[in-house]
Amino acid sequence: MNDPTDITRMHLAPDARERIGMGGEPDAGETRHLAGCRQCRREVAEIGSVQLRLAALVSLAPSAGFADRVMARIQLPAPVWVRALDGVRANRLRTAAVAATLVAAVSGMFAWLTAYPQVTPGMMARLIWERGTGLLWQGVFSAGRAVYDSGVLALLDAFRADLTPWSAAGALATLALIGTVSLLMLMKLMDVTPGTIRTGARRIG
Amino acid sequence: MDYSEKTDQDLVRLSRRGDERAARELVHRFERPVFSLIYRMVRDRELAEDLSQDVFVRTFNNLDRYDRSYKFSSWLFKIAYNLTVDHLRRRELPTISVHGAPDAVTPDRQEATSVTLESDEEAPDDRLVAKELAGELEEAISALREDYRTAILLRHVEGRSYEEIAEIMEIPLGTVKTYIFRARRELREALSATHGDPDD
Repeated sequence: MNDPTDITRMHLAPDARERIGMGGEPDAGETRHLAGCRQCRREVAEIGSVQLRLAALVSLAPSAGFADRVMARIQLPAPVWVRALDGVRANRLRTAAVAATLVAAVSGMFAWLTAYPQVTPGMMARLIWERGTGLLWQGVFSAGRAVYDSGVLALLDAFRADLTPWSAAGALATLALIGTVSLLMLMKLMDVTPGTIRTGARRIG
Repeated sequence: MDYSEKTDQDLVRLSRRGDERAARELVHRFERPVFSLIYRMVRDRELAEDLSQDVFVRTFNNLDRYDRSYKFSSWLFKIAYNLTVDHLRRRELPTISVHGAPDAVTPDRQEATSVTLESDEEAPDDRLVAKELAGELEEAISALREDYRTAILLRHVEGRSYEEIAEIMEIPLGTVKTYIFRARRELREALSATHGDPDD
C-alpha cells in the first residue's frame, strides 16, 4: 500500500525542477523522487534541453562602427575641468576679482617676508591664526550682545511666564507648519518628486 | 587606466562625470546582448540596429536618472524592452501563441484566446530574416509571443534571474514564471514537431 506521508509521492516544486534543469545538483530527496517520478524527470529534462539549446544560440553583433555611431549621438556631461573653465568664462568679472584678491594677498605676504627676514612663515601663520580666531570670538560676542540688547531674551522670558497648554500647542503647530513649508521648498529646489522617491527610477523608452 | 576590468557601476560613475572612454566601454560590453535581444524580437537587422542605438542614446542621456540600487544591465535591458515593445505595438505586429492569453487558465479560455501560428501579415523580408537567423530553434523562438520570447531569452540566453526579468518587463514574478513555463512548452512542441521528441 502507498504511504501517503512518503515525500517522494509529491512532485518537485517548480523552483526545484528549474534549478535541477538548469544544471543544479539535486539533493538526496530530490534524487529519490526523480528516480521514481516520470513526470518530474520529463519536466527537468525539458528545462535542461531548452537551456542547452538556447545557451548555444549565437550572440549576434551589430554592424562595425556601432559604438562610434552611438558615441556620436550621446551627450555626456562635460568633464569637471571643462565645467570649471565654463564657469570661469561665464563669470569673468567674479573670477577676475577673486584672482586679483589672491594675487594681492600672496604678493603682500611675499613683500612682507622679504622686508622682514626675521619673520618666518611659521610666525606669520601663527599671527594669522591668532588674529583670525580673535576676530571670530569678537564676532560671536558682538552677536550675543546684540541679541541681549534687542530684548528678545526678555520677550522669551515673558512668553515662558505666560505659557499655557493652548499657547504651547499653537507654537508647536506654527513650528510644524514652518518645517513642512521649508521641506517642500527644499524638495522643489532639489527637483525631488514623489515618483522618484517611490520607484527610484522613471520609465524611459 | 584599464576600463575593461572596471565594474559596470564604476563605468557608470565615470560616464556620469563625462568620461567618454567609460561610456564607450559600456557600449562595447552590452552592444551584443542588447542587439541580440532586440533582433530576436523584431527580426529585422536594420531596425534592430536603429533601436539598439536608441537604447544606448537614451540610456546615456538619462544617466542622472539611473538608480544605483538596480543593476545597470537590468536598467539597460528594461529600456531596450520598453523601446522595442513600444515599436512593435506601434507597428502592430501579430502576436502568436498556441496556448492563448497568459491569464487563460481553463482549456476553454485558452482555446478562445489562442491564435494561429501562421501569420499572413508577416512580410517576405521577415521570413528571410528568420531564415538568416539559422535553424528551427530561431524560427521557433520567433513564433513565440513577444512577451514569452523576451522572458525566455532573458532567462536562458542572458542568464537573468526571475526577479530581474520581472523588473525589466514590469510584471509580477508569478507571471514571469508562467511566461517562461509556457514558452518552454511551446518551444518544445515546435521542435519535437520537426524532429520528434527525443525523450519519448
